[in-house]
Amino acid sequence: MLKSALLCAGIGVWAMNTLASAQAPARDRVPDLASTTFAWVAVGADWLEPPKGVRGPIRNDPDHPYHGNLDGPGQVTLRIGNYKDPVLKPWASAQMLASNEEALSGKRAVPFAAQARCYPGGVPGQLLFPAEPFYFIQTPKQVWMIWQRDHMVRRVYLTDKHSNNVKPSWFGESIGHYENGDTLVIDTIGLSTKNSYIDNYRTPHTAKLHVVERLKPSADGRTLEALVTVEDPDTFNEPLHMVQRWRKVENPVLETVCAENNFDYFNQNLFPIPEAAKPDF
Amino acid sequence: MEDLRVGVFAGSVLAVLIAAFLPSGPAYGAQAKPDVSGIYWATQYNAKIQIVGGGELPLTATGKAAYDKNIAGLKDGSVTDAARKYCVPDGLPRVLATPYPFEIIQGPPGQITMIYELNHQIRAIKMDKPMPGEKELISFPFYNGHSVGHFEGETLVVESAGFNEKTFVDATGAPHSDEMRTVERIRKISPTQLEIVVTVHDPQYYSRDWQARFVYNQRNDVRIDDYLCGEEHRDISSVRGGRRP
Repeated sequence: MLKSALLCAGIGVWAMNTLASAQAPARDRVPDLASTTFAWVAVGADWLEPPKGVRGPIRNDPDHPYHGNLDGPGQVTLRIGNYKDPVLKPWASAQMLASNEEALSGKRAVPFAAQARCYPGGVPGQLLFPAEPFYFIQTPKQVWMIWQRDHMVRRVYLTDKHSNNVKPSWFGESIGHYENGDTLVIDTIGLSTKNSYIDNYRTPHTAKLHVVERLKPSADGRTLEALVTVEDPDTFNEPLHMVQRWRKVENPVLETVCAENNFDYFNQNLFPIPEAAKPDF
Repeated sequence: MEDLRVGVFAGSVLAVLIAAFLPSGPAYGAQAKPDVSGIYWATQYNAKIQIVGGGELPLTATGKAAYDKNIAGLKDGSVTDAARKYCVPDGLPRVLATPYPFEIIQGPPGQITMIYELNHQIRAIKMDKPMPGEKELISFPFYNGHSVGHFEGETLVVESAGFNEKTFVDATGAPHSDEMRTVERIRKISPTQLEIVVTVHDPQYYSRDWQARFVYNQRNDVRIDDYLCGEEHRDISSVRGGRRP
């Protein structure tokens, strides 16, 4: 018995050497996104412009310029999306107009923003969550994206095919692969539509939404950028391209729980946070 | 015995072979060993925590008063089970009883991460750092506590402290104080089963340390689902005692 084990070990060492030398170097390199000490903080809650020449994100209604918390002195305004953008199908335009009117009339003093009300941000919306960092875990078969805020988790399976039947969910089904040793490419389908928007202007989508995210750290490793393409022929007349950027920060993961102290104390008719009418089990 | 040894030996050769096939890099770290990673799912759910050796929780007088208050409050509505109503984290040791699957990831390097499907709770177990000092534990109490871990042979030993007082020990409202400390011994008891034995140390509420044991099946065929409070979730009818109200 001992002999057979030694033989087995011998074969193992031989096989390991052969395999190691046969490995393609490109497959060996992956962008270094995951750490216990650093994390990534978004530069803002709105999509940045994509490279010139491609269709960019939905912006504010020109009649209602947006002035955010970080935009210097002046009255902070609400995000009123450009429902007149010709890229929108009529149903999407009508839905955005209704949401705008709800906000402008004061019926809902603060319009819905997923992460502010403890909902998952969906794909790609979750990428717009600012203020608290997010983390990666990378293993050879999978990538996890973990937002400190309310411990939201996205999983990316490093495989080349989507499942045959994808049950719609908040973060859908994401498959991914690495390119050029420095880019994580994520392809997502199966996104549910209820309370799910591709941006903070409450731009909706249908179940046909298909998102491709290309995440690449800068050469110095200090920033991470995502080029995001969304296709949804039932919502947009052409694909939209959008960019998000994060800064690398030293920040071991903390526990921040959204549902804590997040009630509508000032009667602003805030969107209710998720709540179970009866215990799940 | 000899057979077993050969089996273990062959197993480690296999692990080396598998390791040789996989890409490596700084993000992955060294191939982790021993390996407790995987997706796990309980086959049994108990609302009331079952302590090792049987019998009732060894409550102190203060602990008994807190438990009685919780039981009465849950009944008349003056105490909320926030973990089930608003889906805040369950805390330890209650989260160990989850009838939903969870995963253990050996990464990123220096950490073992446990992610539960139930309210996507996360526990970051530091493998390369000491437990934070008392000041930090008191200043930043977490629902699921602060955890550090190390391996003793094949067993992952996780020590946790720095809990807030907002969670229950179990679904019946058994209490713990913010002085609670826990030690979990996590190990594979067969190629397809994981065991967690938790020791609860909380002298304010319990007159002695006590233990509870949880066994999970390895279920790498399952993918962890998204979970949002109040929505329809996966079928848990295969978990005995995990029926929905």
